Amino acid sequence: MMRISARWQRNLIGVVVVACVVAAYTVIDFGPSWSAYRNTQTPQLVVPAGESGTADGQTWRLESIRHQNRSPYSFGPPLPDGTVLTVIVVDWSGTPLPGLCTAVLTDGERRWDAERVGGFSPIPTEGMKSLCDAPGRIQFGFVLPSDAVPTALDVTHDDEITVRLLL
Amino acid sequence: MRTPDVKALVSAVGVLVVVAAAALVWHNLPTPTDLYGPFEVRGRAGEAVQGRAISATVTSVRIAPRVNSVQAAGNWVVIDTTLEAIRSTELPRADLVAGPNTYAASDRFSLDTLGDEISPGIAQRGSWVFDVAPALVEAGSSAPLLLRIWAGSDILDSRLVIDIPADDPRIARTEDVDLAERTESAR
Repeated sequence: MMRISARWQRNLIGVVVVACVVAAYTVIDFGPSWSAYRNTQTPQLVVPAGESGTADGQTWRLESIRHQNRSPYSFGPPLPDGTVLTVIVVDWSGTPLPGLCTAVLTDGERRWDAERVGGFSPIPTEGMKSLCDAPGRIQFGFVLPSDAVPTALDVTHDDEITVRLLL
Repeated sequence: MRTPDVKALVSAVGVLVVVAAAALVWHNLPTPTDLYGPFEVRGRAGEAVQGRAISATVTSVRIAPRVNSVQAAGNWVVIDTTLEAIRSTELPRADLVAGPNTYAASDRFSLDTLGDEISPGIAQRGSWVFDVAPALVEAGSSAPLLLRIWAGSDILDSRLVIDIPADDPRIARTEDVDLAERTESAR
């Protein structure tokens, strides 16, 4: 049997130590950024249609969804030709989460951001709000092409998908 | 006479080669713009140019000293464009390269011009407006215009570069341009 010389044993140990240090540095340095990126692609919680879901002390439920083919306002521009306004109400209970909260509607291929303040979203009724900065009943509005078939609503914090509510 | 130590000589030459190679690399390091810069997607006025995030078509170009009766410091270059997001809602940005200069889009007419969010499946039609040195866009000038459009930050993302040749028939010169309102419609 061939024996490894003492010098090559030392070299091998050196290579292994360096590889371990580089691997540890990579995980420590890039780990959080990679995790944050993964969270922008993969929801941390998926709630099936018609159900509620709980994770990390937060409970989410899609309360209602409706579509309308005209602007809810008698003033301002009409909805763009060939589009519909989809209004979704989400019931969120638990504690506030850090980060900028918004919602995105997806059909599995394409993603539409929720209308901002001053957009086509109707004025929320009593007990409802249009911002998801804290738990409560939250209303989101989306302008979509009329042939789009959305399949899920993502609630995001700093672009990371906190929950995916299937429609 | 002593015989030369071949092993030592090889080691010395090896060290010299490594140090020289390191110095060569050090003096030819890529700049940050090489590392993080956008990937250019080139096209021409009149055709749909599509990058990762957005698609754009330049439909016409108007050059005039006044837009909506507002006098330019140089000449206004109004570039009528149709934009559409490919996969997600995006915030488009644009600048114009004319000869040696690069111009940011003017915000004088921001309620009517492009620059608002665009969404997949919903085309947005409107204009980018630039205030450009007159010599670069006067009749007979040979300087081509390059409209560059990107979404959000262009770091490591595609950037559309749309060539508008000086003799392009889409270019019209007038005294005053009335900006049309930005419009949207689903295809």
